[in-house]
Amino acid sequence: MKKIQSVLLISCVCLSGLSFAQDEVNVGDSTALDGAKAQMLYNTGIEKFNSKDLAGAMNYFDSAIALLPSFDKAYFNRGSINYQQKKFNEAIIDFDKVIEINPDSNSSAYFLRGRSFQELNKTDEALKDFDNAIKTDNTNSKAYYYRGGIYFLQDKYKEAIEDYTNAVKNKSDYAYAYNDRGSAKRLLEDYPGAIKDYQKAILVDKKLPFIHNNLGSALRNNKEYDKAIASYTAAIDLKGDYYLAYNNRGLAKYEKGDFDGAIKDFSDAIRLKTSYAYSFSNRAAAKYKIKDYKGCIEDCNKALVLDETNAAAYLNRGIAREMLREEEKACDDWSKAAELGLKNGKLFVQQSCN
Amino acid sequence: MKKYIYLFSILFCAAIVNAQDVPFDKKIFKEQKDAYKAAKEQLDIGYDLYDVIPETYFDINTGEYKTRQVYYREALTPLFNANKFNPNNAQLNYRIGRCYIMNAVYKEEAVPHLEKALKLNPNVSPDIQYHLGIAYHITMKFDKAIAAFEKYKAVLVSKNPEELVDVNKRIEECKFAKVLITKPERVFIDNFNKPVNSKYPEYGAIISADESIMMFTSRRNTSTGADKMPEGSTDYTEDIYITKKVDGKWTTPENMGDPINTEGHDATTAIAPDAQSMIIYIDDKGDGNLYECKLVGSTWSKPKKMNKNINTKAHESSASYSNDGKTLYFVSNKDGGFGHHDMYVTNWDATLMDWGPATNLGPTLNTKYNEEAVLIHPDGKTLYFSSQGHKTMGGYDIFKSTLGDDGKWSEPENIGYPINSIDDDVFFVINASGRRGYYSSFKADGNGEKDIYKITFLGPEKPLQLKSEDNLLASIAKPVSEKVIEKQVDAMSKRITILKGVVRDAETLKPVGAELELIDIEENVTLAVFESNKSTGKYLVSLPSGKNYGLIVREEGYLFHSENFNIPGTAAYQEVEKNIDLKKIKVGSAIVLKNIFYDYNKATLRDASKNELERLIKLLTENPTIKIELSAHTDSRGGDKYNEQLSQKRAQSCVDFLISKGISKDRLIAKGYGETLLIKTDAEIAKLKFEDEKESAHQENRRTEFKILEK
Repeated sequence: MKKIQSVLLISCVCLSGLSFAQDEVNVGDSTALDGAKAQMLYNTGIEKFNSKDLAGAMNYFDSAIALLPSFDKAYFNRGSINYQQKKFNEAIIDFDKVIEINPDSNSSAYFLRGRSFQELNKTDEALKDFDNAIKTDNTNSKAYYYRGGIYFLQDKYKEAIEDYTNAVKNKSDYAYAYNDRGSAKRLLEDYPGAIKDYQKAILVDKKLPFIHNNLGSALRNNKEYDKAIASYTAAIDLKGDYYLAYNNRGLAKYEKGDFDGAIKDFSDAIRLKTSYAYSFSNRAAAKYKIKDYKGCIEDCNKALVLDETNAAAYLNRGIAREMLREEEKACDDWSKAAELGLKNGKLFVQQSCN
Repeated sequence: MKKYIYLFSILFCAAIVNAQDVPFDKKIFKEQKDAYKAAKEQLDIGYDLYDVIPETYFDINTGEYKTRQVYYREALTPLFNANKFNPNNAQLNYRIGRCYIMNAVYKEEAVPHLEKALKLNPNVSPDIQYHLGIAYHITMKFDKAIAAFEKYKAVLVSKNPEELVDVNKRIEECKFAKVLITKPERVFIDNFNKPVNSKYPEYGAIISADESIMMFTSRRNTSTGADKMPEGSTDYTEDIYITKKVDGKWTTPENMGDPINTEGHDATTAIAPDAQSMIIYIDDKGDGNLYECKLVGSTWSKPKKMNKNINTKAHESSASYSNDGKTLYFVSNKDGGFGHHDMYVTNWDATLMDWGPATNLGPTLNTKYNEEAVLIHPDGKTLYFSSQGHKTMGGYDIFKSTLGDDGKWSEPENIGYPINSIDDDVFFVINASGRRGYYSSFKADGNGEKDIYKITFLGPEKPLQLKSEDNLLASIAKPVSEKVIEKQVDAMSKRITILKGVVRDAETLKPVGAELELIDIEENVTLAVFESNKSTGKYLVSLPSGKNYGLIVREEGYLFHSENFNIPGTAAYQEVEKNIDLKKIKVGSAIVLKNIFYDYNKATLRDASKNELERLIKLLTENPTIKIELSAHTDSRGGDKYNEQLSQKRAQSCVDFLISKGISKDRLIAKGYGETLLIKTDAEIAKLKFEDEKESAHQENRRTEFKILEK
């Protein structure tokens, strides 16, 4: 009996790692001649992979599968390479085979097929696979994490939080899971809970600018403006061109009443991304607050050139026009904002346009 | 060194001299004999005018004409001339300061003169601190005013209790003013300018509910009898003027002429929401009474003195109609009130066809001081008035109070600064939406005298919309927008619907003077009965939100016309223009019965429908030869067959009801058209922007009609 031990090391671009086919493959007696050859090819494939020759590795895994069509690990590793190369449809076919051969024991195959479906925006299929991944291995932290992400995008924040909690229970240094759980809590308006989670995520990995930004937003939602500004600043320090953080720091300053500071941050966000309509309409609001009504209108105009469906820009421009005694134009703007779905647009028309 | 000591001594002495009260003594000014003589002459003229010249004026506290010194007008110029020669006379500065306080404009000039008088001689007059307090109050230097009044109180204590009450009230006014100005109301205040305002006084604006007509009082050279006044006289009597809004602009005001204006004082008081009647104030040789005039076609009737439940020997000064015309609020200083002028209410007695006994509005609204210029808003439950007694910034301030469901008025609320000021703020009116108000005031940007100003209420600051994005999910690079929850905005506008239009003959489109009956459908009670104008056919009615209204329009020889307006309690202000075309009673004439209601998806008539059918019974009884088709229609939702069957059953329900009330079945045909005769097609509905508009269009399609088949 020949025993081979092999490890397939595939790094994943999107996360810290994929599942590995590191089980033992047993080969024995005369019926296993093809099997033995297949195992040798398989092992060579792994060597190729380790030397970063993905095409070579694929060839050896193909050959191994040709000799031994029930070689689930070879399918798995080929599927993993396809997944890494973003060939999601091919990856799904390989993982289908793994699951067909070994339906109850391969949590990783379910997980990677689920991820492949997710990348192809086939959410229902992905959700089903993550369910199975968890069913076959209830410690699969990544499956919990990605299923939580699906729930999050479906606005099922409570279910998402439960999954993120299971993810961090099984992987205590899972910064992404802490971050995403914080985001889910934030959307449920549990700002203190969100703040704690973002802070835990930063404890695990303090070099991720987006977590500092998210912490800033949770602090801003919690009306802790000075701390929010400090967090956004930390995000900007880590990523100098982080226009979202500039825009958000501007919002914190705006809400704190520092309108000049807000204008500066919105301007910086615009400098970094000249097509960022949000910062134009936000700067317009800040200009309104310092009674620069004409400046407010100019910025709203720019925001609308970039995005003619920017309801906030219509609403804000109407408010500035009212102060400049351009009542008819103000009413036109509020009507447009109402058409684009802002209830306040309709309310302002009722209030001020008669 | 000696030279410097000498110079310093001179400057020091000069400073002492400057701080001293310098009398008008020729010995002091012996080097300036001629100038002194001229200044002294001016001083004497000023002092004479300051002391003696009387003026007749109307005392609003007592409702009587009195005389007072007009030193503030004529005395100011000679006193000012004397002050140029000798600016350091304490008494002269004191008097100039008082003149400025009483002046219509430049009141702020009182402060430096009174301060100087006090500095030159702290004993210049026992009441110097009082007048300085007033000057500070007028110029909104509230802390200084309070300090001055407190000093005056120290002098006053135990000498004059009434005056102490007055000073304490002024201190409270200053304290309250300090609070109000920290939270100014968001308003635009604009002078009406020409053609409404002129160099003469304009005040007392009153408006129709839709703001299409404004009347006001003015003392112009075009006043009735002005041509008979002595040459050089400028004190013209009050007359009423009218202006109309045409294409958004006010026309040149016209003197309303005979029979409204007389050679005496005629002043605006109230106008009905539909501008078909008004109440004016006539001084009646000082008695002060309220008179009512009606618009008959295009002519105003002769003012008719209102009954004794309203007019007494006391002074009745202002009034306001409720939206349904059944209630009248007015002001009188008759005995038995809580103070001087109080507000009263009287209801229309439909049996006697006159106003019933008046009731005092009670101590929540009336104070021991004066209440004036009462106004009930077309919503029927918000009362505006001016008061000296509630928490004011000074003088009269404008207040509002709301009538609760329990029939009690809320504690009056000051409508805020800068609408209210330190001066008297009276003659305030507000339009039906609550968006615009009108009042009169002296202001630096005015046309010389009191002018009418328009107030635009902006309401609470409108929340601006801000947008943010975050990288909420670590595994997704694309930013996620924050879910925008729009900040709540206080509903500023009044919850009321103004319904207006013209009643016309359906064929000729000529105006018809018809009777309009407003009904509460659920309660089955008549809320108001009124008429459209005979000449123009115009009508207007204000409908407070929160009721299901039926409007029935009748005129002899025509089929009655019914409309339904179900206005939810949350409905904001809106103006609905609805022309009503009455159809002659003849074969082929058809009308929609808008106040027929069925249970949902059933043919069962709701109780609220039966009044409409009773009207139809009355028509059929009065016209015994006519035969009608009663038809029902559905909207386009639901299956064709189902809709046809439902409509047939509904038409039959109506016919059955009529038969049960004694109408022969030979005169009635029930017909269900289903969705075959839509008023608004699906394509038209699809083009509508908002869901409520679409629902309204579907509702228009669901209807019950009758048509005359034979006569």
